[in-house]
Amino acid sequence: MPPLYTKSKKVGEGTYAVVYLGHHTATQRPIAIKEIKAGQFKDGLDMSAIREMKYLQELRHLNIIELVDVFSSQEGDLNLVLEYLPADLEMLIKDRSILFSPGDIKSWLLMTLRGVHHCHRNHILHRDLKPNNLLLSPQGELKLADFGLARSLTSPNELLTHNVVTRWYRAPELLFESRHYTEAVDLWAVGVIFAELMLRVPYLPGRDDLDQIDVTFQALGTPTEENWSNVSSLPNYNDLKIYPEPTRSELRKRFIGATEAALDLMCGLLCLNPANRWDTERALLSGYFKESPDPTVPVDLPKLSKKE
Amino acid sequence: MVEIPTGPKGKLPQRLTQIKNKESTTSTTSLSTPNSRIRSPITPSVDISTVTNDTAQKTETPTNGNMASSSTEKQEAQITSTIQLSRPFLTRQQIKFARSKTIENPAIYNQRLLQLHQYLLKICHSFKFPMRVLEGSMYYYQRFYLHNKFEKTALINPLDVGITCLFIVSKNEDTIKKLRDLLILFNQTRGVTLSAEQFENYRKRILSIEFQILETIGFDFRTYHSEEFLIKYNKLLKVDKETSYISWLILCDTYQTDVSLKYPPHIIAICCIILNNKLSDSSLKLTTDYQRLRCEEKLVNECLQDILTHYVESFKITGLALKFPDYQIKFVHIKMEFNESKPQMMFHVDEKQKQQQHQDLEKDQFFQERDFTTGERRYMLENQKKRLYAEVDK
Ligand SMILES: Nc1ncnc2c1ncn2[C@@H]1O[C@H](COP(=O)(O)OP(=O)(O)OP(=O)(O)O)[C@@H](O)[C@H]1O
Repeated sequence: MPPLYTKSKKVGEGTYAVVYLGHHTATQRPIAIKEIKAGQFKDGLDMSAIREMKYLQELRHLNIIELVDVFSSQEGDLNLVLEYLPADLEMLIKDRSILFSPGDIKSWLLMTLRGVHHCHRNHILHRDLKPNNLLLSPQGELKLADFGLARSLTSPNELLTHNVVTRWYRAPELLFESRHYTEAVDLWAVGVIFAELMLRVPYLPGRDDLDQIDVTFQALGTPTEENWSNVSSLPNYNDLKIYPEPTRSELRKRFIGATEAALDLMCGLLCLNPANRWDTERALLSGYFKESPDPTVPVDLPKLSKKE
Repeated sequence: MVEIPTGPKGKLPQRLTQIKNKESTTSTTSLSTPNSRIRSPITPSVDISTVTNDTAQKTETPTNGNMASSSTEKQEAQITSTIQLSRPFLTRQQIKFARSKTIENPAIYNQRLLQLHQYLLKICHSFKFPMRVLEGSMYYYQRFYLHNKFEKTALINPLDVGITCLFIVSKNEDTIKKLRDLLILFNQTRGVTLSAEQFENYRKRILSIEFQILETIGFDFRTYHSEEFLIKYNKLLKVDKETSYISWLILCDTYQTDVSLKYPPHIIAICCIILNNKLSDSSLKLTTDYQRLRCEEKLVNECLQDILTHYVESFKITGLALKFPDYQIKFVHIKMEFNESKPQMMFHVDEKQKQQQHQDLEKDQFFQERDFTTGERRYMLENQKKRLYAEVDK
């Protein structure tokens, strides 16, 4: 009998793993084999690897990367077998030769929200959403990946670390170093990704943590007690420049071609106060997804022009 | 193309895991490999006839043209591959059976367990870990000794297994501390001093134990928090804070037992509340609420019996005894009353059934001795059962 998986070339390397391309022999389905670097760390198996296994073993959804297998090899290495997804949304955004139609953007956003909705339904926060972690299958399907920072929300009293989410996609409550946050941090990130898809450049590119605060509130207004009660008691709420919230016409100017429904959704996702921010259900049922054009079917979405 | 990394040349383990199941036949095939490090192809597939229960042990034939053809020095070797489904909860009989194979002296095992519980409790207090970290550690520890030999011959100190369990749980529960700091505190707690060099070796040993524990629990990181249910149920049943404190003490004492191996967390939680209710002679109408709380009565009764037995037999070492030293007699009464009122739950198994159960367990590969050093070991949650059988049936 042929081997179950074959492993060929190395395709990448992260902090705690080396990733190889392989194939499931019976079906010739391509797979990614993530070999966890063992014995290299002071503190044993990396927490990211634990989180990735823990959450992906249980989540099954078209828009979430599938963990196909977990095995330890003869040599004692731990291997995670994942579906092989050779492209990500960041590559597409950066590929200047590709034009995005409004239907394309809608389709990617829809698939992202569906994946996030599935996580949240299972009380799991992703906590690291960004274009680079939204992987694309050759058939055009978008899938959330990299659950190394994910965690389940159990009791509301638990303290959480605010040091999550890549800087540009970090929600205001995280910028203020709140230790009690919710699913809303993921929706903020989706909002920033939505803006980036329309602009084709990062929307809130802070140079460092301090600059991020400035960039964020310059674009979206500084939160105050009026629109977010008790915000001023958050740990890092101090020395803020007060910027006004952008007017609708300013937003229209920045996001040329965005429909009113698209702006409504974006503003809902980028609502400063997490308590009023839209959740996945509200976002998925919003007018944006009901108006034309229809979201592009995945197979017809733009693909990378040049082979990586 | 398949890439073959160069590794040290050596002999492949010649070990074969035979399927001990009568109905199944094992076909062993020898293979030629160029190299002791079979890295690619990763998991050669299998030829197997039958799988019993949750472990499929397979003898494989990695026929691989690439490897064979590129080899200069061939060796006859056989590789085994096992698939382990994780089973989070086991029955009393299953636990008893598993322990009969790993533990020679239950008295010493129990003594160690309680000692470990004391140490870990102290560490959890010092680091302000939530109680679920202790709960999870005791769960992993006890699972470990269902599948690994406990006695000295095993060469691993059970206390080291215990502290490593705590280390894994603290990662899994997002309360991670540096392993170094954890070990320093652990050594302080039990009065052990190590030189810098010894400490470094100790740290390394812990890391190798970590991997063995992870394999034993099948990389199943799902967590079960009975405390959450306790709080919710107490609220739902409108038990006042002061009264509910006793149910919390009882819950903490359950971490000295193996109930978390047998019952899901909500069952354990409701049992603590029922016992509290009985102790305080208040008459909450609890029994009628099982349905609403989704607690299966049979499981509740079994679990109650286990906890009662613990209090009757080991009252002095429980946390409750520290606060309420005179409660032992109450437990004796509750237990007597309980045994009289619930005769239907004493599972009447006749001899024939018993024998059948034992035979089933003997066949169950989940309880066969595990080897974490040879072959490839694949891990799946039990929700993958269908996939496993589909794969193996081929
Ligand atoms: N499922 C996959 N399919 C195809 N390529 C993948 C897949 N997963 C990872 N890769 C590739 O391997 C690289 C390393 O991935 P990995 O997830 O280990 O690290 P990372 O998330 O990029 O970085 P870090 O570990 O620092 O967070 C990725 O950059 C990507 O190129």
